[in-house]
Parts: sequence; C-alpha cells; structure tokens
Amino acid sequence: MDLGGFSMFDLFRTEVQQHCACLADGLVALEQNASQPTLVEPLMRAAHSVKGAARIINLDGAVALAHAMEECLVRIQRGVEVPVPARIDDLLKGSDILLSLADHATEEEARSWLEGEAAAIAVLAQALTLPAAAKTAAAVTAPTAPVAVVTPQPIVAPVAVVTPQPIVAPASAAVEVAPSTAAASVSAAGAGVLVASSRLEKLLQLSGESLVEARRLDSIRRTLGRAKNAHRTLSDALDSLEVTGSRAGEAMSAVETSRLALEEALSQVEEHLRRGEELASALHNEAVASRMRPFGDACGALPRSVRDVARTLGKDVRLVISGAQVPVDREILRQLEAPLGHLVRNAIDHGIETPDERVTAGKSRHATLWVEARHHAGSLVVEVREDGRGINRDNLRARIATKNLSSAEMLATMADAELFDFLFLPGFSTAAQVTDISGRGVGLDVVQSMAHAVGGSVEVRSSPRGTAFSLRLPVTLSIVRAAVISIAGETYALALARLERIDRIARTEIKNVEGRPTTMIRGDTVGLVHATDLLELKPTASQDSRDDLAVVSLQAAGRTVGLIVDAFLGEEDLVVRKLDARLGEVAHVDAASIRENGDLLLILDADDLVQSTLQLLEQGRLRGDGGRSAATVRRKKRILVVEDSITVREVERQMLLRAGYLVDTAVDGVDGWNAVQKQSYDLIVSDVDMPRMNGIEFVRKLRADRRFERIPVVIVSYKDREEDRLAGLEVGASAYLTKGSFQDRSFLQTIADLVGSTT
Amino acid sequence: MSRLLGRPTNPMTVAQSTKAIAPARSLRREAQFNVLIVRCANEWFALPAASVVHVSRVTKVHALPHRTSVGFRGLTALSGAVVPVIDLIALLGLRLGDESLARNARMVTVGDAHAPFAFEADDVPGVYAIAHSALQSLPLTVESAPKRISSGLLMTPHGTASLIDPERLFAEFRSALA
Repeated sequence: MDLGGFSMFDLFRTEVQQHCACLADGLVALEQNASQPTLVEPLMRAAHSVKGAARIINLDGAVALAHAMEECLVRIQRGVEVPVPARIDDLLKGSDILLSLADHATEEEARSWLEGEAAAIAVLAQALTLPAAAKTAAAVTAPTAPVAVVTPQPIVAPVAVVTPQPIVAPASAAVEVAPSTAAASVSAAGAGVLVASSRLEKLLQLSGESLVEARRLDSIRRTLGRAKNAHRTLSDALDSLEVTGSRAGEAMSAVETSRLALEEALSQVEEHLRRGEELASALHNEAVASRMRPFGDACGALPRSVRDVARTLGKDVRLVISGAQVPVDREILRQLEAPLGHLVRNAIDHGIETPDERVTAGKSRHATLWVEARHHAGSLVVEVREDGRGINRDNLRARIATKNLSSAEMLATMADAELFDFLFLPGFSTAAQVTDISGRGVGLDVVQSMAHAVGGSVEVRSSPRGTAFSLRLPVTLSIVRAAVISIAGETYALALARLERIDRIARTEIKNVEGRPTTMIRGDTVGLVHATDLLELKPTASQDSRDDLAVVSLQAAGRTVGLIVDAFLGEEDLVVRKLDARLGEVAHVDAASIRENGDLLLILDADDLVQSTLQLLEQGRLRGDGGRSAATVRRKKRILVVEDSITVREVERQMLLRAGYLVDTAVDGVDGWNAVQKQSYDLIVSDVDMPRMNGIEFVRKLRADRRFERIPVVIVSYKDREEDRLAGLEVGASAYLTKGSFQDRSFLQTIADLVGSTT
Repeated sequence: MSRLLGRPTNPMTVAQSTKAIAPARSLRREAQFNVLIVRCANEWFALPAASVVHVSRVTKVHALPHRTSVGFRGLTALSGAVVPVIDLIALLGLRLGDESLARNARMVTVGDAHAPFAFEADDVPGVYAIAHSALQSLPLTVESAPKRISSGLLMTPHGTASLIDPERLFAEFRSALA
C-alpha cells in the first residue's frame, strides 16, 4: 500500500506505547482487584488496538501475541479464568515484548528483532491460550522452547517508556500544537514551552484587535485637531472685534486657557496614540513571531539522508547547511520537509557526478551540496545548490520531445526558465532508470506543488558548474501581502504572489470573441470574467455604468484569466484568519482577515478562481454565453472517521484524503457524536469497538436523530462474523466492511457508491 | 457592557421597572435566573445569561460567496475574532419591526468562546433576574411549531418575552451555516 511519506511505524510506536502503558497499569490493578471485571475491558481494548495497529503494518508476530493476550483477557472477563499472578506475569511479559518492539527506531530494526524473538513469542502466545493452571505443564513439556525465555523473568524495557507519561516533543519542536488547552508545560530541555495552538490563535486575535483599538484614537486626535482650528478662528474673531473692558479681558483669558487645554489634550492624545500603536504593533509582531521556528528544524534528517544516498550511489558529498537560525513559519517548515528531501536526493542522484567524473571534469573529488535559507525582499528563500554537472539542455529537450509535450521547433527557441518548467510536470523525469532514490518524476512535482500551495514559486538556475533550485516562499502564513479589491460593494483581497498584474481597462478596449469579453494586456489577449459571476454575488449598479473596469490578472497552471472587479483599493499586509470550521469548505475563499479599521475582508483563492473559470467556461455557464446564469460551484464531500486506533484512523484518513475527500476524525463514539453537532458530513466511517461509546451505539444514536438519520454510515471492523455484520446493519449502518478492505479498492469503492464522487 | 446597554431613562421605564421589580422583594428567597432581554423585530426574547458571550456595537457584516441560506448573513469581526452572523428575524420568519419602536441595535454574541454566533438585535435593554415561578408554558401553537426555539414565556418590563432554549437556538444556527 502506497502511503507516500507517511511513517506508519511511527504511529504504530506511539500507539503501542500508549496501550502498553495502559496494560501495565491495568494488569497490576487487576491482580490486586481480581473480582472487578470492569477493570478488564480497557485492557481488552488495548490488546485489541495493538493487534489492529500491528496488522496494518503486517507485524504478524505482534498480531499473534496481541490476539492471544486479548483472548486470555476475554476469558478473564467472562469469569472462565482467574487472573492469578502467574497469568498476570504472562500478560505483562506480552506487554513488555510489544513495548520492546515499539522501542526500535526503525521498522526494519523492529522486524529483524521480531524475527529473532519469534520462538519466544510463539511459546508465550501458546501459554496464553491455555488455562493458567495448565500453563506450567505446557511450558515444561515444550521441548523446543528456550528455557531462558519461558522462565518468568522481567523483560528489560526502559522505565521511562513503560511509565505512563506524556510524549514530550523535542525542544526544537516546542511550539508544536499541544493536545489540549491544558496548561502549558515546559519541555524537558527547558528550551521551549508547549502552548495550545488555540491559545496562540487567541493571542493573535487579541493583539490584532488591540492594534485596531489603538488606531481608533486617531479619530479623537482628528476631532481635537478640528476643535483647535475652530478655536483659532474664534480667537481671531474675538481679536478683530476690538472690544475693551473687563468682560472682554475675561473672554480673552478664557479663550487662552481653553487654547492651552486643547493643545495639551491634543498633545496627550498624540503621545498616547503613538505609544499605543507602538506597543500594540510590538505585541502583534511578537504574537505573529510565536508561529516561527528556526529553519534548522527542517534539516534534522538531511545529514543522514545525504550520507546514505551518497554511499549508495558511490558519490562523495559534503553537506553545508546555512541559515539554520532563520525564522520560518512553523506550518511552512512542516510542509518543507518532504520537498527538501526530494531536492537533496535529486541533487545527489542527478546533479552530482561520481568522484572520477568530477576529476575528469577538472573538479575536486568532493562535491558540495548547499542547503541555505535566508530572508530576501520580504520573502523566505530556500535554496538547494550543488557544484555538479548542471542540467543537460539537449537531453531535456529530447525527453520533452519524446513525451510529445512540445515541438522541436518550439523547444529550440525556449529560454532556460521555460525549458526547466517541464521538470516540474507530474511524472516527468530525465532519469534513464527509476531507482529507490529518484527517477519517478514525482519529486519536483511535489516541490512545486508545495511552493504554490503556500503562495510561493520555484526557480531553477543551472550551468556546467552546478544547479540551484530556489524556493521563494512567504516568510509567514500568518501575514499575506495582498491586493485589496472591491467586489459587489464588499471588500476582498488576493495574495500578491498569486497576481500577475492589475489594470484599468477602458470599456472600449473590451472586444467580444465568440460572445465572451476579452482585452489586450501587454500584447496578449486575455479572457475576462466578472468576479460577481464567479462568486455568485449581486453586482452593484455602478459596475455596469462605468467607462473603465478594474481587471485583476490571475495565473494558474499556465493560464491567465482577467477578473473584472469593482475597484482596486490598494495593497495591505493582512493577518490571515482561517475560516470557521463550521462553515466547511467555502468555494473560492481561502481565509478571512480583519483590516486596520476593524472591518472584515475575505481573502480569495486565486487558483480556485481560475480553475472554476475554466470549468464554467467549458460548461457554458458564464456571462457572455447565455447571459448572467448562476455559476453553481460544487463543494467537496466531507467525511468523518470515528476510530479509536490512531494507526487505523490515520490509514483511513490518508486514503480518503488522497481520494479527494475532506476528512475529520474522532477518537470514539462520544467524540464522533460531538463532531456531528458542529459540522455536517456527507458520510461517516466508524469502528465498532471503541471506549465510551461503541460504533453500534453511535450508529443507533445517529439514526434516532432526525438531523442525522440520512447520513450514510460505513462500519469498518476487524469483526468479520456474520452476526457482527448483521448487528451493524440492523442498527442502520449503510455498509459493513472488514479492515481487510483497505488492501483492495472495496473501502473507497463503497464510499464512492454511497456519496458519489469527491465533489 | 453597562455603557453599551446604557440609555436615557424615561419615567415610564422607571415605573415599569419598579412594578416588575417590586413583587420580587416578596419572593426574595425564590430561585432566580438571569436573562438578557433582546428585541428582534416586534418580538422580545430572553436569553439565559450563561449562553451570552458579549454584547457589542453593530459591526459590518461581510457576505460569504455561495452561501445564501435563509438566516445566514455572513461574517463579522468581533473582539478580533471572525464570527458568523445569523439573521434571527429571517431564520424565525418574524414580522418586520414597528418603525415607531426605538432602535438601539447591538450585536449579541452567543454560544461559547470557541464556537460563537452573533446576531443583530434591534434593542438590548439589559440583564434581568427572573424568578422560576414567573415562567409560563408556551401556547400549543408555538409548542408544536417545527422551528421552536423557546421553552416558555416570561413577563418582563417590556412585555411578554420568549425564553430561548439555547440548545435549540444553536441547532437552528448550525443548520443555517451548513
């Protein structure tokens, strides 16, 4: 099963560590309170979950052991067997073995270790299937069983892992999202503090609001300024009256006193405004900066990866990382890890020569690979550069021609930038062979997709002295430099990185081609669409009566579209606010932001706008082709996965995401029930065995509620007996699948049958 | 909140309030609960105080493209957060307000701090302590209505108010968002 860059073993380890902690504690409690069968249920669930997780990554020995433990616990729960100390020893031993398995750093090491322990595990599993009284006899009579393993003995496991404790993130990942809004805790290294992301988000909101409030004082300052001017006029008028006498003196004195008071008030307000703005800005900048982490955090795996790849390919490579301390938005950093890995592997495989080739080319035997981050002109630039052979343009042209992507004549006239763009096409590779390292043509596609997803770009430079891939990314996803525009009388924004240009076009310059408006922009004919058509908004009366139109040119996937808007209002740095999850996916809208005056605006998704334009044009549903018909935009289907096993949950989530669905997860029936209150779903996938509320109860509860009675529910369980299947279908599940369905297409096919395609 | 809810007091209001509050003295020992009284169109509603996050000045509401369900107005910025705004009048199909009634519009945020909703009320006189015994049952025609959001009726200084059941209200709000 292709899981991309997703580490299933890491999830397995985390899950086993959690469940073994539960087993260790629970078994000891059970031994002390053997008469309490309620203590057994969580232990059964823990063994069951470990079995499921092990099955997902095909660790058969662990599946067999966990299954034997579960069966043994079932007997104890039914009262068939008493949890005597010898039996608790066996179960604890089983838990320790599973924990030791999860303690290995890599899946390969774990498999190798498991094979070595196979005989011991088989004996223990066998012992667990026999009644406790018969166990000793069986062990003694088993001729092949190594005595050293059968003899009850503590299996060494690090205490720190067995003891239930929160999994502490490394110090470098200190600002990773904490699991709940519980109080912040200091990491072991003391270098960072774990703070719930919701707290950080609130801090950002309030700091932004304090900036808005501080700036509101400016209107008071302006009012005072007007009062001061009016006062001066009054004073001049009094002077011109040339009246004398004590009353006149009193009036002049009062005017002077009020002038001084006004000036003092104005000065105080100005000072307060200046200080307030400075402080609020500083607070806001700090709140935004709290999302940043050093670039070096994304480079942790690179030295090992470079060493391994270079050794495999027989190359001599020196890695130089610079800018490790450059602050990067933590979300960008997270997304950068995979592209960096691809670029580094590509550089060693394709760019860097073997030592002999380098010597022949007059270079040193040691190649150098630079991975560098820096801030430049308001952007983050991440560059992967080597001093290898450079891109062979003739080979590249030949490859493009072979794939019929362009004609030889056009290729001959293409500039480097255009030629190198083909490298980023999905499935395009210049490698003669597909290896484990590269050549499938997926790596650079991933790099470009990531850059575009965050509003950035990729540039390639190459010469016979080396090649550089340069990613230009936003410094933070929290703030976006955007063009603020008006559409249908309301304020919207488009990230500048996604804009080609903004023009004011005279109505006379608009020509119809096949009934659709177009105009010439810098020598190119660009098709125009009304933003109000795309967004299904009612146009303002003024839009159709103006002599000229504001046109925003957007580009996506090499196509340009001119979006007609009411007006261009200027450029602003906007703090990005995610849309409320309860709204689900909103077509064409990426996020919201609050402007300095406190008003809300919506940030539009340029790629989505262009894609929709192309779709709607194909379907003939835009103005110019049948008038202002409403442009209906489909939304993605949203699925809720309710599953207590983190491993299975992630497998399901990843499969559904890859199939194009939007996916939310819940950890048990209660969590699932809460989720459906907050969000509407097109389908629910649920496990059966879960704590607090099992899948059967969950489906029954859904079917009893008018709001949810029609949502399709697919039960996915290890229980494959007919009576289990019937129990699920009887309470109202739409389908009942076993977890083996992940291996074939039946899981996704069933879901597609129930909800249709992904949109 | 006191400034937001403050307004010139006229003798009529003082007399009405006195009349409403005076009987409460004899019921001092009776359990009371606090409600925020709001007016939308011609109707008065009483929101249990625990379901109210805050009351603020009216802010601009930004329409959300492709979302035109009855009862959903769009989004607004409140206390630095982006909050969905519900049109309670449209959602409940209320008759439009009497032009002669004073309009002291306020944005009322309800729900909890993590999942708030806002709606614009035409008037928000303030928070009142209400005795449980003052609660009257709903008329049959209201109780049987499919979109019922009230759990009872209250006599307030401003007239009869529907006591809102927050869970029912939020369920209606959620369905308006979908």
